[in-house]
Amino acid sequence: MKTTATTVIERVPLFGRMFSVDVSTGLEEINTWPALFIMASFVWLAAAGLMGLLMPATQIVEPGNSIFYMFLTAHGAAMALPFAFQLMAGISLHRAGGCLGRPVTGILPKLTFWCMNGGALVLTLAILDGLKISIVTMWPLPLVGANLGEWSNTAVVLGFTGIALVLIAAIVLYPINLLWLVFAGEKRQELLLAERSLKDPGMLGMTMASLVLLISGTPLLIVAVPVLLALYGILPIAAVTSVIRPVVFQYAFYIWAHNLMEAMALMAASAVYATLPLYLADGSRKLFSDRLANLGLWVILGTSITSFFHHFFTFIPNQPAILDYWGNIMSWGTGVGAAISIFTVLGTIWEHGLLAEPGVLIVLTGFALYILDGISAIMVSNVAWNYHLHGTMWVSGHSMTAILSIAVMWLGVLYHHYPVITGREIERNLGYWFVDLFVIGGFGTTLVMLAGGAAGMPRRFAAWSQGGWMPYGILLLIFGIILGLAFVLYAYGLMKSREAEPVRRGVFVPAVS
Amino acid sequence: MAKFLFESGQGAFALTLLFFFVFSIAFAFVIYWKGFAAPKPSTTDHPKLVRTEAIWIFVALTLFLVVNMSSIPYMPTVISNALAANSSRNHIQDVNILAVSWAFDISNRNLQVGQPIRFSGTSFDTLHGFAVYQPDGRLLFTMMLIPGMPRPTSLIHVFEKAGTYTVRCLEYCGTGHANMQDRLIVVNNTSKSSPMAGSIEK
Ligand SMILES: [Cu+2]
Repeated sequence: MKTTATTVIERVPLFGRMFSVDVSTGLEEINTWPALFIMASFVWLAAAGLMGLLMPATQIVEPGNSIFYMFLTAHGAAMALPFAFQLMAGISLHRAGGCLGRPVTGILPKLTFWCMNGGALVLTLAILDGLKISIVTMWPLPLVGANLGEWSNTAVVLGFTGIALVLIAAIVLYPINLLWLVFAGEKRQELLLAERSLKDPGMLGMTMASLVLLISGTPLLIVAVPVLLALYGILPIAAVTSVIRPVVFQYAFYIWAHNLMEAMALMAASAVYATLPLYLADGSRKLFSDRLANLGLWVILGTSITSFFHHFFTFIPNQPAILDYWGNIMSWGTGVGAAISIFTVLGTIWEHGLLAEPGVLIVLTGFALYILDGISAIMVSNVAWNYHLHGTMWVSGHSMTAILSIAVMWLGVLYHHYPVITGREIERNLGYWFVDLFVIGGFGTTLVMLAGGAAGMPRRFAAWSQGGWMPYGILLLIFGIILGLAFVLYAYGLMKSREAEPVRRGVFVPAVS
Repeated sequence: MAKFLFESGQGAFALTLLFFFVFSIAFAFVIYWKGFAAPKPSTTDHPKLVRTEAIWIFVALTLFLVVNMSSIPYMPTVISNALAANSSRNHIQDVNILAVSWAFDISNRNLQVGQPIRFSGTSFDTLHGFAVYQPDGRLLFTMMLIPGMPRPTSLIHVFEKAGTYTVRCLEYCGTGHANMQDRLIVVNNTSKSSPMAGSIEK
């Protein structure tokens, strides 16, 4: 059965070959849309990675050139949602489909796909048209910049249209799709690959994350809709800006953006909890403790919801000091959740032994980077340190690492889903090479950005030469190239994937037999 | 020790490295041992691991508490509130800042060591930062200025060293962002009757 999605995949050069769907197993209903999501995420990764390298390159060639802000905006905008989020959406929908026996078809995946990618394309056009507002939009910067002639009003309207579409995909469509699969879709025995219930940490984390996305994004949508209507000229802009003051927009934005990261982390943690047991040496398929794993997820959920105050520590007394302290305590509380998850992972491996397959090693490498990111996150969420680090490369390092580590955990999990989707197996040796290169490139870029931030190097800043920060920039370029090579190698592994044996098709292969 | 740790971002970096070093040793060891050297199930009994787990979580909690408790005296919010409560209003010098794309309007750029100064900043157009860099290049503190606020962002600070402090905007504000800079000159307070005293708000 050929669907539009299959045709789209087949027609995309290069990337289409990596994700062509296996039609021999009759599982297209759970395979096709996820395959399209994952393929699209790789296209965005390629573009975003290039932008990422152009950032330090511009600084080295011509410090101060404001084209840097174009690469900055494009890099962040492509990496966060079209790449990392979409990769997560693809694999998690596939997992939900296969573990619950429900087809990933219908209007929801279709709309999610077109809103996410159409929106991101429209935003890209706006950025090419000069909109340099960074990934967080810095509202009211889009309007101020248009007034100052930095970019056109058209670019602002175009940009916000794109952002709105992407937000609808990430805040509304995808979470509803996942929740629909968990609670409502029709269960079909022939699609059930490996049954899981909500008591399973892997399922629980996914459900929690969908709810977090939906709930924490709602305030932003409430704020963004009138803004968009004003930009279209439907509502008077003065009336809208007098109600939606910059501070309102900022808080709505960070309530979402912060919890988006937490939701993506919960989602990734749940994927780790679901995948790790499949690669245990004793074949027990058991976590060290399901209860402990779930406790870790609940602690992260409970503490992370109100940690977003840490984005505004330096806004006193407009954000009262008491909320600073609250945000400080809650942020370190998520650290306790992370400490629990570290023990769950290591305890599981210690107790049952590990089949050191590339997929699970990639997951664990991503997890280790995620812990480094967590450490950097709690440091900057301490009120005393925040005053020395807010607005520096430290914060960029933290947000980049969060996205990178989460994405890499998914790339590890993909090893497990890929044979089901495509009927092929990823080349193993390249997987080990990916781990090696990623350890150098991934941890290298992170540590350089943290060190630069500690030395006062500002983020979103076109002139690294100013305070003698260029050495960090040069190191960033070097580690960035290594990181880029790691991803190229991963993609090459997909190109070189081999036909799986018939018995291994259409089932979640637990590990090497 | 606490002063080094909490008075600049480098303290945070040092502690991050320490935490990460300990974690990565343990992590790499478990994966190497159980994945490559001896990938067999463990003989350690489950209750013993549960006890280890309890100890680990206790250690993490204690560590988190110690770090945060010892950082309290260094929190600019705490310092600011203490200065506001202890000095009579006369002793606090007011410096007002208005940030506009892409420049600062600062009411007084010549300041004195040891003098509590209340920096109050507002923004005229979009988000800006008011970040003060030490003469040695480290970031002393930063403030977030969001336009449209009825009252300014404000912080009381006492300079400990004389020198030229660079002011930068640390909230991205458009293409001129990196050029949005200024300077504060901080001099030693030589005597109470110095001509400088005249410029200080009484
Ligand atoms: Cu500025």
